[in-house]
Amino acid sequence: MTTRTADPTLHRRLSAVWAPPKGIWRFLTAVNHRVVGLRFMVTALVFLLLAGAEAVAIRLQLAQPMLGILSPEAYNQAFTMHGSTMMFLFAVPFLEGLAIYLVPLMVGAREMAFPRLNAFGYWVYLIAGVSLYGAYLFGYAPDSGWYNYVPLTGIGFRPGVNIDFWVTMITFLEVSALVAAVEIIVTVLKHRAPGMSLDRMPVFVWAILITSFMIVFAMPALMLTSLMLALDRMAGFHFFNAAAGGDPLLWQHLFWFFGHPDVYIMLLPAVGVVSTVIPVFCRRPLAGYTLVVVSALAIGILSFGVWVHHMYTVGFAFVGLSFFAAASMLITIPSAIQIFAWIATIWNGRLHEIATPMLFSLGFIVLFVLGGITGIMIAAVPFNWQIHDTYFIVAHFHYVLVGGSVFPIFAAIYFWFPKVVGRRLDERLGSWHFWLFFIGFNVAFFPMHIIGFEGMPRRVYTYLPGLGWDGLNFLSTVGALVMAGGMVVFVWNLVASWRGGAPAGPDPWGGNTLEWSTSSPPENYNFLLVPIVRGRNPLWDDPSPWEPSLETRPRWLAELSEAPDLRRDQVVTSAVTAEPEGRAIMPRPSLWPLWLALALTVSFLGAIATLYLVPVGLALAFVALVGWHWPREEKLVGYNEEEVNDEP
Amino acid sequence: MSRELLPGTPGVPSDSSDSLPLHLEGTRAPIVWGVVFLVLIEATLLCLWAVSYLYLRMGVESWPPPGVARPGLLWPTIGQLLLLLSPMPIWIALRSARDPASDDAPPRMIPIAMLLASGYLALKAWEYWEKDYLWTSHAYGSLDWSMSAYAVFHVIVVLLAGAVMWAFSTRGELQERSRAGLQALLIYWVFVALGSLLFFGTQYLVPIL
Ligand SMILES: [Cu+2]
Repeated sequence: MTTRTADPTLHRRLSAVWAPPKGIWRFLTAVNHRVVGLRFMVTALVFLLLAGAEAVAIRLQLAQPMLGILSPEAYNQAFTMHGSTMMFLFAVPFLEGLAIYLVPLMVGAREMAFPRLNAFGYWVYLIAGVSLYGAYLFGYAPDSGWYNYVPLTGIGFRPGVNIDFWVTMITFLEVSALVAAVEIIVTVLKHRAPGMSLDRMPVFVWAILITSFMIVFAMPALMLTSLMLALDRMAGFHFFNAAAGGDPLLWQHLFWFFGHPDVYIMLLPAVGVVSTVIPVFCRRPLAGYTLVVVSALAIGILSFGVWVHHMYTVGFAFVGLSFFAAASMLITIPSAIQIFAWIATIWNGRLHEIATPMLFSLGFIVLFVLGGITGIMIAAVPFNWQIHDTYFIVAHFHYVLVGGSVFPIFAAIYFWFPKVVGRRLDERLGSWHFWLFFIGFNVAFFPMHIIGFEGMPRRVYTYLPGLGWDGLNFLSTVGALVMAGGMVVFVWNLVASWRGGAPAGPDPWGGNTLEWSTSSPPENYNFLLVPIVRGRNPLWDDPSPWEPSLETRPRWLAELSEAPDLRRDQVVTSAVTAEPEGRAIMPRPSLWPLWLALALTVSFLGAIATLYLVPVGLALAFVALVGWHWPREEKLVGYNEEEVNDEP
Repeated sequence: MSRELLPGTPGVPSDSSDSLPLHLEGTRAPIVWGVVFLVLIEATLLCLWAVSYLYLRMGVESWPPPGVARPGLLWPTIGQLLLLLSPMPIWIALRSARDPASDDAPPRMIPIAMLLASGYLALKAWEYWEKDYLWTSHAYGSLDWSMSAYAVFHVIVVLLAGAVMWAFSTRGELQERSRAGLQALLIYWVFVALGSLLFFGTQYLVPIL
């Protein structure tokens, strides 16, 4: 840490070389991973609030029988947008943003592998999300559920543009998720700090790496199937048209081949968050590091073999169903291993304070176990037939997804907000947020198990009185409002602490991973000197990973740290052992990512109006790609070292 | 700098006279890794597409549907062979470019690769010009036309990428800076050729089995 302040010249030079542009150009051309990552997270939080507002509207409509707050059509749009937003616009993009922000800091890098691709991914995400909500504003939102089953969504049953927006914009969004995944994988495999062999990598980075591999193999299924549906709807193809030799069930297979792994794409990063937070608050390294990583890997692989458990009622042979039931139940074993690892860490550690990140992590464990138990129940075929498409399912997946993904995301926000902003979130407001959200969640969703047993189907906009569903539905709505209260406290906390929270300092929690060795927020260049990693918990094992200082470093290391040519140098290391292999020059700010995203928007959004716009967009995209790859110097110009050298 | 600099960090050079290389290639180059993962994504998509073809095929009695002729094999096979050969010149260019005496290999070889791939495109265009069904006719037509369109689209993409790379190479840009770029192009080109082979097997062999 002392080396940072010891060398103000180096600080100024690196700061200038790595600085994002200023003013409007910053908005349009910045490629720095922390700028892009933060944009992902802030945008995703806005979508979370929108999805929450939709949820409140849904709950108000269902508070009593035969209410007319939402019309049936408005209700359909509300629950479709709620589900699509939480899945596609909040959970996955937020976790991507968190990874884009944190992974380079955790592996000791100054930038992601492909910074412009990163910026491109954000623009695609923003445009897709804004388009979907733009359509919603005019009443053209998708309205057939977040998994958009055919034949309901075929052109015969749902003419008009509502479903067109779903198929084009969700496909577009997957482009964003896929480029982020490639970006993250290559960064993790090729830009780790020297010495950070795979077995020394933080668990969070492992979880993100496995998640990214899952995105690579899962998202293409969704892209293919929504491309097929787009062709069916817009160009007269017959993939899903049984009358012409197609098959509607093909949609369900392809969708859930993506859809089930997608659950774990949202869950595994959360596992990484909790595995990071708990050891820090317990002051001991994670128990069973290897087991936790292997379990995450096992979950990632197994989750590709269970998709049919969403289709038990379709009418397959029982032998096939038994296989998928067994595979689904098998996933509980690696999940349980992880839970035992966390309990063991708490048990053997010195839990010194239960700050808000720890509260949300503990809340996660409780809710995730409850969701896991109902998960084993519905993996059993006969039970599943009984409660298929009832509120029991709604209860189950909210325990899994809100408990398993949203709670850890809140833990992550409270844990890393000080790093990102330089100020701490208020702890008292934090515990209000937690308790309102935790109690409200259970009041809202626990009764749904019972309502489901009593036979209330999901996705109905209202129900008749006297079916025995009234009281519990009302209770559920009360719980939803308490959760909304928790969200108000949370937003208040974010805004107030962003502007006037207590200064955090570089390492408020006493963390073990490299991001806590940077200032808060980190400087433009992240690390003044490229760190060298000698163990699994660099900040605990090794008080100064930056040593030796610049003067005493070997030349290859000094060069990397100094940016002698005023270019964005970054070390390239080998994939497994992280031995230095070379230097890479990272690109400077660029307008091409935005251009490329807009060009593809012409294709994707234009397709809804006329298919002739598709080639137009592709031609514009070609121009962008040529400009993107045009060889250039990538050198900072107009920086005069002598001028600033004399300053203290 | 002494050896104790990095205890337990095998392979980290501590010799202070070494400087790390700037122009990386092969598994050292991040861009090559990036293209490999792009290929993995697209390969997943292709496999799922082929599986979807088989899935829809198994759902019906006769394939192709009654009244539709089975696809001919001769010209499509020739086109496929041209496409499979087309990445070869780029591979040759990469190999001979190691030799500093022949740095004009990429500008000479890329056009040959493009010519071979264009032959595939011409044969495809001719074949589909003659088809007596469209994608709107039946699910068989939807699969057949869309898979060929996907393959053709990718061949156009590598042709455009090849053209850009050729332009860079005539400016002498390739030698130093973008050998990894040429490797990336080769990897993608080989993928396009093998991916269309997968579709070829699906589209032309499944109907005659
Ligand atoms: Cu599932």
